[in-house]
Amino acid sequence: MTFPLIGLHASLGELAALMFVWSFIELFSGADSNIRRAKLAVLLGVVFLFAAWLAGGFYYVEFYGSGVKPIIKEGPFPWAHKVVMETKEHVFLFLPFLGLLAYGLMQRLGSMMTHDRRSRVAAMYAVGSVAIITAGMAFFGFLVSSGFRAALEQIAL
Amino acid sequence: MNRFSIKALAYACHAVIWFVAIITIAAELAEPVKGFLAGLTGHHWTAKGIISLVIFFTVAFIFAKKKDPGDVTGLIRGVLISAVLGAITIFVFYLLINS
Repeated sequence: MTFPLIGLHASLGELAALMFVWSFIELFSGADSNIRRAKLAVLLGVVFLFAAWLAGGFYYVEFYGSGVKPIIKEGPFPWAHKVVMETKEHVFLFLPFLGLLAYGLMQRLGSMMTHDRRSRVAAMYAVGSVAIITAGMAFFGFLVSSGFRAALEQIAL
Repeated sequence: MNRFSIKALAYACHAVIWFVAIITIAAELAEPVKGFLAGLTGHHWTAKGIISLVIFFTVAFIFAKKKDPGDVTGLIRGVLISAVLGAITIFVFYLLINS
Protein backbone atom coordinates (compact mmCIF):
# COMPACT_ATOMS: atom_id res chain seq x y z
CA MET A 1 0.00 0.00 0.00
CA THR A 2 2.73 2.46 0.96
CA PHE A 3 4.94 1.93 -2.07
CA PRO A 4 2.31 2.82 -4.71
CA LEU A 5 1.55 5.98 -2.75
CA ILE A 6 5.13 7.22 -2.52
CA GLY A 7 5.67 6.26 -6.16
CA LEU A 8 2.53 8.20 -7.10
CA HIS A 9 3.70 11.21 -5.09
CA ALA A 10 7.15 11.18 -6.74
CA SER A 11 5.72 10.64 -10.24
CA LEU A 12 3.19 13.45 -9.90
CA GLY A 13 5.90 15.78 -8.59
CA GLU A 14 8.20 14.93 -11.47
CA LEU A 15 5.37 15.39 -13.98
CA ALA A 16 4.69 18.80 -12.43
CA ALA A 17 8.36 19.78 -12.81
CA LEU A 18 8.26 18.60 -16.41
CA MET A 19 5.17 20.72 -17.15
CA PHE A 20 6.85 23.84 -15.76
CA VAL A 21 10.01 23.13 -17.79
CA TRP A 22 7.81 22.69 -20.88
CA SER A 23 6.12 26.03 -20.18
CA PHE A 24 9.52 27.71 -19.66
CA ILE A 25 10.73 26.48 -23.05
CA GLU A 26 7.53 27.58 -24.82
CA LEU A 27 7.98 31.07 -23.38
CA PHE A 28 11.22 31.59 -25.31
CA SER A 29 8.99 32.35 -28.27
CA GLY A 30 6.25 34.97 -28.29
CA ALA A 31 4.14 33.21 -30.91
CA ASP A 32 0.45 32.73 -30.10
CA SER A 33 0.70 28.94 -30.28
CA ASN A 34 3.68 28.89 -27.89
CA ILE A 35 1.92 31.09 -25.36
CA ARG A 36 -1.21 28.91 -25.57
CA ARG A 37 0.84 25.76 -24.90
CA ALA A 38 2.78 27.50 -22.10
CA LYS A 39 -0.51 28.32 -20.35
CA LEU A 40 -1.78 24.75 -20.77
CA ALA A 41 1.49 23.34 -19.40
CA VAL A 42 1.28 25.58 -16.31
CA LEU A 43 -2.33 24.57 -15.70
CA LEU A 44 -1.35 20.88 -15.88
CA GLY A 45 1.67 21.57 -13.67
CA VAL A 46 -0.52 23.13 -10.98
CA VAL A 47 -2.95 20.18 -11.12
CA PHE A 48 -0.02 17.74 -10.75
CA LEU A 49 1.40 19.76 -7.84
CA PHE A 50 -1.88 19.64 -5.93
CA ALA A 51 -2.25 15.92 -6.72
CA ALA A 52 1.34 15.32 -5.49
CA TRP A 53 0.47 17.25 -2.32
CA LEU A 54 -2.55 15.01 -1.68
CA ALA A 55 -0.74 11.72 -2.43
CA GLY A 56 2.40 12.67 -0.50
CA GLY A 57 0.41 14.17 2.35
CA PHE A 58 -1.71 11.05 2.80
CA TYR A 59 1.41 8.86 2.74
CA TYR A 60 3.23 11.18 5.18
CA VAL A 61 0.41 11.37 7.70
CA GLU A 62 -0.74 7.74 7.51
CA PHE A 63 2.48 5.76 6.97
CA TYR A 64 5.70 7.77 7.15
CA GLY A 65 5.43 8.98 10.75
CA SER A 66 4.72 5.55 12.23
CA GLY A 67 6.56 3.22 9.82
CA VAL A 68 9.47 5.05 8.19
CA LYS A 69 10.57 7.92 10.42
CA PRO A 70 11.55 5.79 13.46
CA ILE A 71 13.64 3.47 11.25
CA ILE A 72 15.51 6.37 9.59
CA LYS A 73 16.18 7.97 12.99
CA GLU A 74 17.73 4.72 14.26
CA GLY A 75 19.77 4.23 11.07
CA PRO A 76 23.20 5.54 10.00
CA PHE A 77 21.76 8.77 8.47
CA PRO A 78 19.25 10.17 10.98
CA TRP A 79 19.69 13.61 9.39
CA ALA A 80 17.76 12.24 6.41
CA HIS A 81 14.65 12.72 8.51
CA LYS A 82 15.72 15.31 11.09
CA VAL A 83 16.97 17.86 8.56
CA VAL A 84 16.09 16.78 5.02
CA MET A 85 12.55 15.45 5.49
CA GLU A 86 11.62 18.19 7.95
CA THR A 87 12.78 20.81 5.43
CA LYS A 88 11.14 19.02 2.49
CA GLU A 89 7.72 18.63 4.09
CA HIS A 90 7.58 22.35 4.87
CA VAL A 91 9.20 23.86 1.78
CA PHE A 92 6.89 21.67 -0.31
CA LEU A 93 4.00 23.74 1.06
CA PHE A 94 5.32 26.77 -0.90
CA LEU A 95 4.99 24.97 -4.23
CA PRO A 96 1.23 24.76 -4.94
CA PHE A 97 0.99 28.48 -4.16
CA LEU A 98 3.94 29.42 -6.36
CA GLY A 99 2.24 27.32 -9.04
CA LEU A 100 -0.99 29.28 -8.58
CA LEU A 101 0.99 32.53 -8.84
CA ALA A 102 2.54 31.33 -12.11
CA TYR A 103 -0.87 30.28 -13.47
CA GLY A 104 -2.59 33.51 -12.38
CA LEU A 105 0.27 35.57 -13.81
CA MET A 106 -0.04 33.92 -17.22
CA GLN A 107 -3.82 34.32 -17.23
CA ARG A 108 -3.51 38.02 -16.39
CA LEU A 109 -0.72 38.74 -18.86
CA GLY A 110 -2.53 36.78 -21.56
CA SER A 111 -1.81 37.94 -25.07
CA MET A 112 0.50 40.69 -23.77
CA MET A 113 3.19 38.01 -23.65
CA THR A 114 3.14 37.76 -27.46
CA HIS A 115 4.57 41.26 -27.93
CA ASP A 116 5.97 42.34 -24.54
CA ARG A 117 9.25 40.60 -23.80
CA ARG A 118 9.29 41.83 -20.17
CA SER A 119 6.00 40.04 -19.51
CA ARG A 120 7.42 36.83 -20.92
CA VAL A 121 10.54 37.20 -18.78
CA ALA A 122 8.37 37.61 -15.65
CA ALA A 123 6.43 34.47 -16.58
CA MET A 124 9.72 32.62 -17.20
CA TYR A 125 10.94 33.63 -13.73
CA ALA A 126 7.75 32.24 -12.20
CA VAL A 127 7.59 28.91 -14.06
CA GLY A 128 11.37 28.39 -13.96
CA SER A 129 11.51 28.80 -10.21
CA VAL A 130 8.66 26.32 -9.66
CA ALA A 131 10.50 23.81 -11.87
CA ILE A 132 13.77 24.25 -9.95
CA ILE A 133 12.18 24.04 -6.48
CA THR A 134 10.14 20.97 -7.53
CA ALA A 135 13.33 19.30 -8.79
CA GLY A 136 14.95 20.18 -5.44
CA MET A 137 12.10 18.41 -3.66
CA ALA A 138 12.74 15.31 -5.79
CA PHE A 139 16.41 15.40 -4.74
CA PHE A 140 15.41 15.72 -1.08
CA GLY A 141 13.07 12.75 -1.58
CA PHE A 142 16.00 10.75 -2.92
CA LEU A 143 18.03 11.61 0.22
CA VAL A 144 15.17 10.54 2.51
CA SER A 145 14.76 7.25 0.60
CA SER A 146 18.53 6.68 0.82
CA GLY A 147 18.40 7.23 4.58
CA PHE A 148 15.59 4.67 4.86
CA ARG A 149 17.39 2.16 2.64
CA ALA A 150 20.64 2.53 4.62
CA ALA A 151 18.73 1.97 7.86
CA LEU A 152 17.08 -1.17 6.46
CA GLU A 153 20.46 -2.49 5.28
CA GLN A 154 21.83 -1.94 8.77
CA ILE A 155 18.96 -3.96 10.23
CA ALA A 156 19.34 -6.75 7.64
CA LEU A 157 23.12 -7.15 7.95
CA MET B 1 -7.47 33.07 -11.01
CA ASN B 2 -8.10 35.89 -13.45
CA ARG B 3 -10.02 37.86 -10.81
CA PHE B 4 -6.86 38.37 -8.76
CA SER B 5 -4.27 40.99 -9.63
CA ILE B 6 -0.70 39.74 -9.94
CA LYS B 7 0.14 41.92 -6.94
CA ALA B 8 -2.56 40.13 -4.88
CA LEU B 9 -1.16 36.69 -5.80
CA ALA B 10 2.39 37.84 -5.02
CA TYR B 11 1.36 39.19 -1.60
CA ALA B 12 -0.53 35.94 -0.94
CA CYS B 13 2.61 33.91 -1.72
CA HIS B 14 4.73 36.08 0.60
CA ALA B 15 2.14 35.56 3.36
CA VAL B 16 2.08 31.77 2.93
CA ILE B 17 5.88 31.42 2.72
CA TRP B 18 6.49 33.36 5.92
CA PHE B 19 3.53 31.81 7.72
CA VAL B 20 4.96 28.33 7.00
CA ALA B 21 8.50 29.35 8.05
CA ILE B 22 7.38 31.03 11.29
CA ILE B 23 4.77 28.44 12.35
CA THR B 24 7.27 25.62 11.64
CA ILE B 25 9.87 27.17 13.95
CA ALA B 26 7.25 28.11 16.57
CA ALA B 27 5.81 24.58 16.59
CA GLU B 28 9.25 23.03 17.11
CA LEU B 29 10.18 25.43 19.90
CA ALA B 30 6.82 25.44 21.70
CA GLU B 31 5.01 22.14 22.12
CA PRO B 32 1.64 23.84 22.80
CA VAL B 33 1.77 25.39 19.30
CA LYS B 34 2.32 21.98 17.72
CA GLY B 35 -0.41 20.53 19.94
CA PHE B 36 -2.82 23.29 18.93
CA LEU B 37 -2.15 22.64 15.22
CA ALA B 38 -2.53 18.89 15.68
CA GLY B 39 -5.77 19.50 17.57
CA LEU B 40 -7.22 21.36 14.58
CA THR B 41 -6.91 18.59 12.00
CA GLY B 42 -5.32 15.58 13.71
CA HIS B 43 -1.80 16.35 12.41
CA HIS B 44 0.26 19.55 12.66
CA TRP B 45 1.40 19.33 9.01
CA THR B 46 -2.14 18.98 7.68
CA ALA B 47 -3.17 22.01 9.73
CA LYS B 48 -0.28 24.05 8.29
CA GLY B 49 -1.40 23.15 4.76
CA ILE B 50 -5.05 24.01 5.33
CA ILE B 51 -4.21 27.29 7.11
CA SER B 52 -1.85 28.13 4.21
CA LEU B 53 -4.74 27.68 1.76
CA VAL B 54 -6.96 29.95 3.88
CA ILE B 55 -4.22 32.59 4.16
CA PHE B 56 -3.46 32.48 0.43
CA PHE B 57 -7.05 33.04 -0.69
CA THR B 58 -7.82 35.56 2.09
CA VAL B 59 -4.83 37.74 1.17
CA ALA B 60 -5.52 37.30 -2.56
CA PHE B 61 -9.16 38.40 -2.10
CA ILE B 62 -8.16 41.40 0.05
CA PHE B 63 -5.74 42.71 -2.59
CA ALA B 64 -7.59 41.32 -5.62
CA LYS B 65 -8.28 44.72 -7.19
CA LYS B 66 -4.86 46.24 -6.53
CA LYS B 67 -3.39 47.80 -9.66
CA ASP B 68 -0.43 45.97 -11.17
CA PRO B 69 2.71 47.82 -12.29
CA GLY B 70 3.58 47.89 -16.00
CA ASP B 71 6.49 45.55 -15.42
CA VAL B 72 5.67 42.74 -12.98
CA THR B 73 9.15 41.19 -13.02
CA GLY B 74 10.03 42.90 -9.72
CA LEU B 75 6.95 41.39 -8.02
CA ILE B 76 7.84 37.89 -9.19
CA ARG B 77 11.50 38.33 -8.28
CA GLY B 78 10.42 39.43 -4.79
CA VAL B 79 8.38 36.23 -4.33
CA LEU B 80 11.32 34.10 -5.50
CA ILE B 81 13.64 35.81 -3.01
CA SER B 82 11.05 35.20 -0.29
CA ALA B 83 10.77 31.51 -1.26
CA VAL B 84 14.54 31.00 -1.25
CA LEU B 85 14.99 32.83 2.07
CA GLY B 86 12.04 30.94 3.58
CA ALA B 87 13.51 27.61 2.48
CA ILE B 88 16.98 28.52 3.81
CA THR B 89 15.46 29.66 7.12
CA ILE B 90 13.68 26.31 7.59
CA PHE B 91 16.74 24.28 6.50
CA VAL B 92 19.18 26.18 8.75
CA PHE B 93 16.73 25.98 11.67
CA TYR B 94 16.56 22.17 11.46
CA LEU B 95 20.30 21.99 10.96
CA LEU B 96 20.90 24.03 14.12
CA ILE B 97 18.47 22.23 16.40
CA ASN B 98 19.90 18.86 15.33
CA SER B 99 23.60 19.72 15.60
